[in-house]
Amino acid sequence: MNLSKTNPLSLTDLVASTPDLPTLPAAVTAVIRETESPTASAQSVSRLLQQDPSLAARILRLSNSAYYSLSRQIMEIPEAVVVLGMRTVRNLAMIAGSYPWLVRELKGYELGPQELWAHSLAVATGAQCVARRARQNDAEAFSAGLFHNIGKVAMNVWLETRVESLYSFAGEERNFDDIEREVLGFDHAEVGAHLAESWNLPKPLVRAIRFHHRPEEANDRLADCVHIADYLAMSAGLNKGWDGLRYRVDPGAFVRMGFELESLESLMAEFLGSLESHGKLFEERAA
Amino acid sequence: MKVGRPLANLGPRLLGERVDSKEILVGPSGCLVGAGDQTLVCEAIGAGVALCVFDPVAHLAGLAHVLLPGMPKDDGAAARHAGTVVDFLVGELTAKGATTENLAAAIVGGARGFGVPSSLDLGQIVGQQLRAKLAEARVPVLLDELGGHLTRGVFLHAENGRVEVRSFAQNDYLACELLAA
Repeated sequence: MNLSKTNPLSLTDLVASTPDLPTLPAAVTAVIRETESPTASAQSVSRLLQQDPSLAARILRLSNSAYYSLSRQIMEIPEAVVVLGMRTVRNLAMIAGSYPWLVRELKGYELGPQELWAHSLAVATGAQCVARRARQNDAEAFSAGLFHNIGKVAMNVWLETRVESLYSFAGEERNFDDIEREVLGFDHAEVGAHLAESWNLPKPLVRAIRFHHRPEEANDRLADCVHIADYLAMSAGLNKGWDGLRYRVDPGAFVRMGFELESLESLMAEFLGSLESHGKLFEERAA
Repeated sequence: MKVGRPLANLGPRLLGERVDSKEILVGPSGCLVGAGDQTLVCEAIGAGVALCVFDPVAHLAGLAHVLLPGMPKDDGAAARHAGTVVDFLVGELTAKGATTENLAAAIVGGARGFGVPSSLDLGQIVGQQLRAKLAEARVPVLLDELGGHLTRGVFLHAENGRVEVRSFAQNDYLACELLAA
């Protein structure tokens, strides 16, 4: 396949010819859409999740983790929805549904096993902190943060064969997404948004994924949340890939969210605290 | 001592593999002390700063991944903040047998995104505060490598105080310094 600038493929062609493309269980996308509906109920959300027994089992396991410190064990999905709430269970469904893809090793980005996962969960956590502080929808921010780099999973197979091309940019002061476009014709944000569209995710989520590197073009607080959270995670060293801090920061995102620039320090402190507790999602509950 | 050649055997560690049990990982805003043949490792330093402190006589080393400037609001977070981490780490080292007069330090990291205004440049703010606190504690800084756009891996060997700084982006060595006069 020729991905050079002189013979560019369309994004649809690129995605169509990508082997082993990430997918999201249908029950997860259905739950995301259902929880955005004004008619959503604990029953309707439970019914959707119970259609996928393997996903439901993973959600129950997360529900019983040390993070929630529940006094008793949750045995069934309807109980999880009632005890933890619809928004929390929706987030758990997304974690359970995306985990198999996000834990993969992505050699094209120099990301070892679990490293994209660690970054994605950190950005989801950060976006939740940012949204809460700005009194925005924190469940939506968590979703957008979790999926923001899903395009890297699809792009990896192409980038892996062009690692040497990436190294030729090592000495240049350029954003990583510019370098991706130079090498492949597209960046991971565009490809991720295309995937999210194909999964039928809500439009605001698709927009946040597409514009997380250039939120000023989105005119959308969700993209601002993810942009700020991405910078928090990268700053904290929770981005071990080749791209490092080759990231153009838009100070306008802080202004649009109603933050003083100086608030980065307190956001970082809050983010680190939340991150520590989110780690408990993967610890067994004490008996 | 500056070394300009790559150390090929360090590569896999930055990609998440563990080489042996003598390596101790220091996570974001973490702070640990090691001794003897132990190596303290910050796998990825972004905008934060790795503070390395070493006593060549006691063969004790301390490594902190400092992400926040100023002072903490509660005592439990002393290792996270530039205003308190130097005293905290020196205290931890001396409690284990180090002597303040023997100590030497390195500060590494402080990468920044493009277009970051000075008020968002955590690395430079943290770095300046660490330099001031180290000067106050009379601990000389033998390696000061802050800035750029690279995520760095930092390895501090407690046996000899060797600090190795490695880059992901260029897959090579950025610096190596012995923290001993």
